[in-house]
Amino acid sequence: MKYIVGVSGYFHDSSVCLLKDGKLIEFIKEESLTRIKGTRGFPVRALKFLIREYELTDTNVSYLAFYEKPLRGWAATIHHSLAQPRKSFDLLRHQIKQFWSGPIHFVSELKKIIHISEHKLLFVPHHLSHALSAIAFVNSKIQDKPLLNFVFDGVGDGNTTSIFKFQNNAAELIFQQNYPHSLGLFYSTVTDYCGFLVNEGEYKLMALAAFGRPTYYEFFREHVFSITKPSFSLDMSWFDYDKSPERSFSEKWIEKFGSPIKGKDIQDMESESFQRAADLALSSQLVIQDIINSTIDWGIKETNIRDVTISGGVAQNSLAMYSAALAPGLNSVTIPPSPGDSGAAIGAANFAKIVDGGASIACKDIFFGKSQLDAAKPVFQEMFILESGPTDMKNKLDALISSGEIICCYFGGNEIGPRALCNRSLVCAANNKKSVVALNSMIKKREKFRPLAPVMLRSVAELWFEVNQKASDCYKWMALTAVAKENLPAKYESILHFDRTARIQILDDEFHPIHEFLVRNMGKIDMLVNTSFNIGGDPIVFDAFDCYVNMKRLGIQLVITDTGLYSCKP
Amino acid sequence: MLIKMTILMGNVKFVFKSIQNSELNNVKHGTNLSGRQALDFALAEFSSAIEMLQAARLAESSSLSRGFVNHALDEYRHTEFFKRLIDSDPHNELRFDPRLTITLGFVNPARYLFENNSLERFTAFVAINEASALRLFSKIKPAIKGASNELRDEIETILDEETAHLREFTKSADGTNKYPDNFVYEMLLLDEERHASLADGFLDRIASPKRKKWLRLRYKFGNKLRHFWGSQRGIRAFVDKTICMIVICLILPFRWVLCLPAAREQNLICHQSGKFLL
Repeated sequence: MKYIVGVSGYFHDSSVCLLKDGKLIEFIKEESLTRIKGTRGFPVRALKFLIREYELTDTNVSYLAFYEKPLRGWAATIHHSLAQPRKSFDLLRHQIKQFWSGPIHFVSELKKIIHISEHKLLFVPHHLSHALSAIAFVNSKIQDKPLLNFVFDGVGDGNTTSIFKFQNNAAELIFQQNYPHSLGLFYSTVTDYCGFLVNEGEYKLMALAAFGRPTYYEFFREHVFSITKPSFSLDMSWFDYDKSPERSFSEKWIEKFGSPIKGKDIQDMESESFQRAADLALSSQLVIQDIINSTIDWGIKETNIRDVTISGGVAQNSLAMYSAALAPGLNSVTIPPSPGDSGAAIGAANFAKIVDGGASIACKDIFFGKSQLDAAKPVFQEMFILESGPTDMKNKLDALISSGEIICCYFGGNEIGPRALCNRSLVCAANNKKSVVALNSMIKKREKFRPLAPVMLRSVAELWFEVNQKASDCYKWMALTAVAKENLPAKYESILHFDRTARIQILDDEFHPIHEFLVRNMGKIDMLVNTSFNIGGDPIVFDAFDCYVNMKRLGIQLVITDTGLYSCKP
Repeated sequence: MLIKMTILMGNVKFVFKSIQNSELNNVKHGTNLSGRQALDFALAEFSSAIEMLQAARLAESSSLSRGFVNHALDEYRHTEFFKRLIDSDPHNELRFDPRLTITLGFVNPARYLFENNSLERFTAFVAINEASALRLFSKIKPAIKGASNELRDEIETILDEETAHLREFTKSADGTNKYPDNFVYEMLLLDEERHASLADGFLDRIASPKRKKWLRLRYKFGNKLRHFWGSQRGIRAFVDKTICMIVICLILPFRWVLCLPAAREQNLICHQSGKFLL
């Protein structure tokens, strides 16, 4: 039995993954165990979890791969900042401190918890980790074909955009764009300016775009970007992210767009701040879509390869991915379930697997690891009461959801990406507007401008939504949005966004309890609303304690699991 | 419970931190709590919730686990209270970001308190810090009340009428928004008092009086030391900037070394390509 460990950490969501005999069997985010969303740093708890659960030692681990070159990224940003040391003094201070606490210390931190021989440690170029994480999820029908991998990112190893050609388990670099000219950092700047947290609120900015007008689109294209396919450059006088660790936009930006928008001002959808933020959101969205699409177009023309993967932090923008999947000349497009940094741990492990002489990982699953609920444990019984066993819970579930109840789901392994995919979800009937509104605004306390996402069978999705067959698999993990057709029944409109799009999830796994529910209730409830099982701003639940605490905090009484339907003890 | 922890040296020597730094002594009575202080409180309460949840996972007895879970629920509710306080101030530009609990040293996810301490020491620490939190919250109570003066009379009535309901409420987590801020704050004080007395009582049961005295002294002294260092912001910033300036001057002439060419191998997926940090 041989294991390969993939690790990502120190910048965004730290995570680890484990391959057993070449098969991906575990993926854990550090935040699941620390209970602090977006935990970065060395993923000590997640690694300890793997070591404990799988008894990892130097003997049974063939490789441990880290998702970047620790010194390269640091050197690239320091090199840039040293060009203007006075202006960038604050950022330099930050970067110098990073030297003592950042990824350079990965090996020494690793040594504190497990001894791995030096020759088994691999440091994978960051963007190659991203690309290989996408390749792991390419449909098996095209896995042997040449692939073109696009990585659109904030920054990693000093690079911001990369294109690779992948064929016969070999990867060749076609194009690379360097820091500070970055699509991801541009979008984060707008996020920051609109009052959302950087590296956390980008999806909210994306949701705002539906309400916007493209007021600043031309301005961005003409004065902020300089685009020469496939590269682009940013006029850095608009930005401070290369000078200050505190703020992404410059004084010049404020002079142009006005004083920064506060997050709470956006809550009022009639306010001037809301409209300004929405206009900026749409304008920036259109610009990044333009650049992504033109880069893909350039790559296809340059290489004549038409099967494409897209990853990197920017690929988490499902609206941009919807637009990218429409690019002419594509045969197929694959966006992995976790295209950002946490998913890059899978890419790093994939690198090690190929170096070890194997072929790329071919993932069919989207859930990994095993359930952390053990109903036999006294502590579980201290917190939960069994309402129905596995045999009669189906009827009860049907009755509850039909009556408008909101239910927590906890099945099997963890979801891999940032989205709830029915294993750690809150669900209710999508045709019950009252329940949908209650779940969105009262229970999850989400902003009014963000709709909930629906889950449905493939036949239903193809009937009521424009499903792009070139990205067919990616709907399984909500990687891109879909536009509703005119025939979508009015009773389901509460799951649509303002622009009639929805981030749909297609559930193909016929053994999944939610799939079974949708089949049983076809014609009555064809879609369920599916949102993550957590409090906004907290990580998705991981074990029985999180399950109980989150149910209490959300005010939801029932959870359906593999072993039955349970309620919370008072 | 309001906590921060600093690992000083080695595995054994550490000093616990609590949020009550000296800056909080400057809270002016009758004014709204400043954004930074509300943020500190929110982060501290959130950290406490995390610590309690970790303790619940590791506790050997299931009833003790359940106790820690209930305590965590209280702390989460307190966090929500302070988060609302932050949001209610129109001039406040600060935002609650849970990652700040790590950046600012409120928690150390590599070593949670319960993992590093015996139940006895953990309980002593909780007792000390809950009592401190109670003192501190009582002290800044006028600042909280200042946020919604018009509700004061109403709240006094509610407090009289709902004593029975209060106890029940402190155990449930979902009703916070139904109550005015001052009322929630009263309950927060009660929670802290309850946590402090529970922890103190539990410590009585598991530690000898001598040991209890020693643990109390130790954590009180640790807190004082931490408060002193925490209040020396100017000195710390000066030292920090000076060191950075020296480092920058030293590396500036060698800037060219940091300009690394892109990897251009025909095949990037090979052992050689993954071997180096650069």
